Amino acid sequence: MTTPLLEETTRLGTIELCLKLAAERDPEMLLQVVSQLARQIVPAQYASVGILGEDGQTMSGRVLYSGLATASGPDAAAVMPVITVLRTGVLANMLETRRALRLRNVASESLGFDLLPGGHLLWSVLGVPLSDSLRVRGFLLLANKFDSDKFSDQDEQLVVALASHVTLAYERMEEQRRAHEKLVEAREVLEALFELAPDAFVAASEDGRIVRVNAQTEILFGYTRDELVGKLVEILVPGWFQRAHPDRREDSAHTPLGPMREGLELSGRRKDASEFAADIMLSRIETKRGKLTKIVIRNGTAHVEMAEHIQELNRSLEKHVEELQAANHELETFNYSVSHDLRAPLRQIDGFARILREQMGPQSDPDSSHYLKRIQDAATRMGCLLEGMLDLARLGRQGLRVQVTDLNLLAREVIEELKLEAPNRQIEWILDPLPIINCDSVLVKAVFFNLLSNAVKFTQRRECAIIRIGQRHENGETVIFVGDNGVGFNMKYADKLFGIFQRLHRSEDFPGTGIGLATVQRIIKKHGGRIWAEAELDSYATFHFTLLSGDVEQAEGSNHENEVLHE
Amino acid sequence: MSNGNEILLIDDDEADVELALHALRENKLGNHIHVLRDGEEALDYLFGPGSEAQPASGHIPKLILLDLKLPKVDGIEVLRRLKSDAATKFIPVVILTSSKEERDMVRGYDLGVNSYIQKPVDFDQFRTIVSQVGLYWLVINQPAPVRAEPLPV
Repeated sequence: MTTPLLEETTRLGTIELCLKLAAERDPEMLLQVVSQLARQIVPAQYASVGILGEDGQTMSGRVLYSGLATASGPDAAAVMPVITVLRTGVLANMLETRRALRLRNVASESLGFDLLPGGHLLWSVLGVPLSDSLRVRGFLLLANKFDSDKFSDQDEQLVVALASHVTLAYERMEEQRRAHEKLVEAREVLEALFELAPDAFVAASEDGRIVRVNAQTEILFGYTRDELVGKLVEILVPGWFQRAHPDRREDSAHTPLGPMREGLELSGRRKDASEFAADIMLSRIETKRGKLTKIVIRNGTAHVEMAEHIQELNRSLEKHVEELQAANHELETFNYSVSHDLRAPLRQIDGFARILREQMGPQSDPDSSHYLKRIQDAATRMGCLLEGMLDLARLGRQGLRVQVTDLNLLAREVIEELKLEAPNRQIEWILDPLPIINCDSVLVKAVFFNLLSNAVKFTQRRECAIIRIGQRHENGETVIFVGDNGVGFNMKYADKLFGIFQRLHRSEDFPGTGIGLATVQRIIKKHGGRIWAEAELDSYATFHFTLLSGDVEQAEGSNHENEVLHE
Repeated sequence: MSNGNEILLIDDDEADVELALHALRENKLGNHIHVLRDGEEALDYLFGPGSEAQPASGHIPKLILLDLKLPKVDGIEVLRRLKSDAATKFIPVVILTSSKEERDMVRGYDLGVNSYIQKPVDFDQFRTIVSQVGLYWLVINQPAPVRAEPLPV
């Protein structure tokens, strides 16, 4: 039996525990409070509370145990934390059925929960599941009711009522925990954003003291954060601006914030007093504890370095251009000397050889005459080579004088010239309609002249030579070709065709300097075109070329029939 | 004083001079040739010794055959002096040079050269040209009348 005073104490204790139940945040403490409360409401030797873990299997709990078999000394209760897995036994069944149970005279081990190590016979047991509509959270258990051999209906009702409060307390606690976790997570994300930002972030209080900095600030300025926090932001400002800065700072407190003085060169000051170009952006953060200014500092050195790098490249490019100009100038001087100085001795060799031959008269010995002739021929030949080289060099220097050019007219002009040069030849000229194009007509005429005079030259052994000029369309390009039925050449040597001084025939068979096709190729390349050849030895040769691709229009009007000019 | 039918040949290349003289002699023009071997010599001959700013000293040839690449004072400078002096500007000057570089031709004509001829490598062509030039300027062409005083403006 309890005395009124004790009862009073117990009631006060109960209220206290109820308040605790409502306020307790710590799940460990809550277990304790619940088990105490259960024992206070229905005094018993054992009071236990078990809570299922997140996995739904692990059970953590508390057992309050009093060695006394009466209610007179509740404070003597011992607390034992229990962690177990509840698989079988009376309590497992109860959690399955979600119904309170009352038992008498059961062995403690049959509960399936280590209420007490070692088997004890419990004379009475009251178990109530902690559950809401969604799930079972655990149980409340009382055993060995004081002063009675069994738990009454009222005991059960009381404990069930307590259980529903406990469930609510747990729900609330879980909600809070989830909310807290979300908060923590969100905070961590924000922290990471702040901390790992590629720019330096500095938060400063209204009086200009640094409150927080991120990792990039440490990297950029060379200070540790401990060295910065609490200092005035002027620590990061270049020396020449440090004195004026606080005023500026105060001014800016009343003006809208944003990019700082756009277009001005701003700079930051490192710990080692070195300065760097910086882009700075300010924004204001209102917190309950006052305004903070967020300062974002981006290292502008990278931009400056890039700009310097570009300037450096430009300088080196300019230098190269100068060198190139110098080299060109040198080359021009060289060409000038060649044209001037090499010609004179040639003329003299030829001149004196001729004078000598004339003076020796007709009665001179044939050998001497022959040698003198050889000397003259050699001089003449070298003169031609020199001329060709100079033309080629001049071609390299001069720009294109592009104009609308009717290739039909150009080809006809060249054909007429060649007819005059070889009046005794039997040549069938076939001139297909050619396009009208934009090109340097003087140079393209030289192309036709070279190709057609080659054709005339290499068909000289044919009874009836055929030379054809035409065009075809290939992959969106206009290809112009010049073909002949002459001696051709072995395709094995096709790659040598356009090299300077390269010849595929002996000069006594077919005279030439080996410059013509090199010149042709250079002209065509200057026009952005290509030239190639196909041939068969003793059969034919055809040269194909393109000029400015895409700039070709078809000849309009004029005869589209093949034009055959017979000699 | 005028030197009658004098031809002035200004060329530093000895062999070229010999060939030119040979060609001129073949055409009976060789008796009146005066050869000068560099630009300075030419200026001295035409304007008197040390003649930087002096007027012509009196050698007024009928034709000047001028090479461009000359030691000391080059042919273009000689041409400039000739054409900028009232006393010499009417002397026909024929540039006879190995070069047919465009810039030489442009500069020559800019300064008022009367003819520009590239010496051909082939000697036959060369002597044909020399004889034609000689005949044209000495026989066919009417020279500017010789005046003691410039015309009143």
